[in-house]
Amino acid sequence: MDTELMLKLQSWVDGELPASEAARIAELVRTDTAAAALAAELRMTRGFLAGNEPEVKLPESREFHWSKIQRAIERAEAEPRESLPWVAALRRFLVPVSGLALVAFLTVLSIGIFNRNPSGTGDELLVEEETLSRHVDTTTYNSQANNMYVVYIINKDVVDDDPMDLDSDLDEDMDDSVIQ
Amino acid sequence: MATHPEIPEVSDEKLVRRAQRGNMPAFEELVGRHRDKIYARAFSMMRNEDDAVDLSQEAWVKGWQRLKQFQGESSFVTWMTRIVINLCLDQLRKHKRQRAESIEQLEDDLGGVERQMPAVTVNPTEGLERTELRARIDKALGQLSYEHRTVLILHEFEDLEYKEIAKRMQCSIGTVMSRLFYARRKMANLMMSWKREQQS
Amino acid sequence: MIFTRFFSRRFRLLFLAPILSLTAIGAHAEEIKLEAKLIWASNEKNSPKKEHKPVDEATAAKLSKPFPQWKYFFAETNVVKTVPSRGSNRFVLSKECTLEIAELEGPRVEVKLIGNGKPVHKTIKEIKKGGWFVYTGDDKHESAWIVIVTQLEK
Repeated sequence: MDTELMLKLQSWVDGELPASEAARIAELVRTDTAAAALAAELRMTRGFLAGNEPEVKLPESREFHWSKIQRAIERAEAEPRESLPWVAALRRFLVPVSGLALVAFLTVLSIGIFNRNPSGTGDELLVEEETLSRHVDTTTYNSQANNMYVVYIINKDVVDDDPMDLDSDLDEDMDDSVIQ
Repeated sequence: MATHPEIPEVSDEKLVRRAQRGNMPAFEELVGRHRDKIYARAFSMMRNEDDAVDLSQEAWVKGWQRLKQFQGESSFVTWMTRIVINLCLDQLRKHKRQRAESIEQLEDDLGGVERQMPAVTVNPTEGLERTELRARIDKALGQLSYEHRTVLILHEFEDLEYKEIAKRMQCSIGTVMSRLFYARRKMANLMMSWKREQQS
Repeated sequence: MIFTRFFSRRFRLLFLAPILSLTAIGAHAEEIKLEAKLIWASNEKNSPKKEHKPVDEATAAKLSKPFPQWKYFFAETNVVKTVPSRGSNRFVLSKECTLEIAELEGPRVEVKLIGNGKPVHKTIKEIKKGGWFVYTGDDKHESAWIVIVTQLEK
């Protein structure tokens, strides 16, 4: 049984295999003793883990634990919220509401952002993203300190449908397991 | 510690609503009720008492700060568990580079003999008292790498689907499946080897 | 009266300023020289692909910050091209991975990631000199692909 088949067997045991493939795997389990043995082992492992997570007690008294939490909450609430530099600059222009005040506000804002020094921080905030494939999700990491903007592409589908499958060859280290 | 006599009789939902209105004693009661569970989750992931204490404390602080966002779509303790899991994942990602030098990681990188072992056909936990079973599971979890242990915990104890685990661990579903498979096989084989040791 | 005249002049100035500022922005459009690199990340010291070369130390050090989970980084492809003003160019990094990059006003760029011939994701942002724009995702068997786009001097 190759690695891919074993993983499909696992997905079938976990109820995560699409219906179209589930029937085929079910048939394999009925007819192949190695597949049946592996499925049984996976089910057994799930069985003995379920409800048997190790119970660990917090090694601190209730009072001590709470006192630390309470102090941390008070510290967090006492700290002023960080402002982005351009927000702080913006506040200076929050004049009484009127159409002219709003135009002045937008004008100063746009000039401030687009004519900023190249090492400034306003432009990095102007980012638009769009996911073009229904097979992926994304998360983003933005580090101004490292001058880096990272978009993580996360496949929602199984590895077969990986749109960014760079290595279609089997990894030499992943030997096919032999279930006897 | 001053406690309100009626608080122990109040449901979590009511306590959460009070805490959302700024009632600190209500939140304190919630912490008291669920501190072990939150700590246990942090400890099972971090395998280090100090880290688990710090992260569970941080989780409670975040819980207080975000309490208004909690809409009751899950139980309060499930919501808090997710917070501590995310904190643990962030911490583990930061420290993974240093831990790569450990022998445990090296064994995982080499591929693991367990992939090639025959299927375990006898239940190695049969006859074990629950305390002993949990102790063995705890010992076995300690022998997994952080990636394998995390996937196992998220799937088996948090009942998350592959997709959700992939999102939280920032990896593909295929990687989740490989890691889960490896972790389960290793668990089964460890339990079997301890059973044989006990019998011999 | 004086107030009205003052008010009118101010109004005209404030009314025109956004238009002038946007025009000034438009004048920033220009051709842009970009480098796109495809990197493979793994915890295996040796890569299975012969064409992979370990990245230099500075790149490895910078990559270790957002990717602390990987020990080794290998350069697979490096493509340098100029994207014309208000135009676009394709950066073919592998048979599975292509970037289509268009220059927009700002100067900002639109980077479209194409995987196996299908559009995957699009980002519009400014890429400053020295800054990195990165796409990454998991590859098979405990590894990852990383695409880095940087702006070069013309």
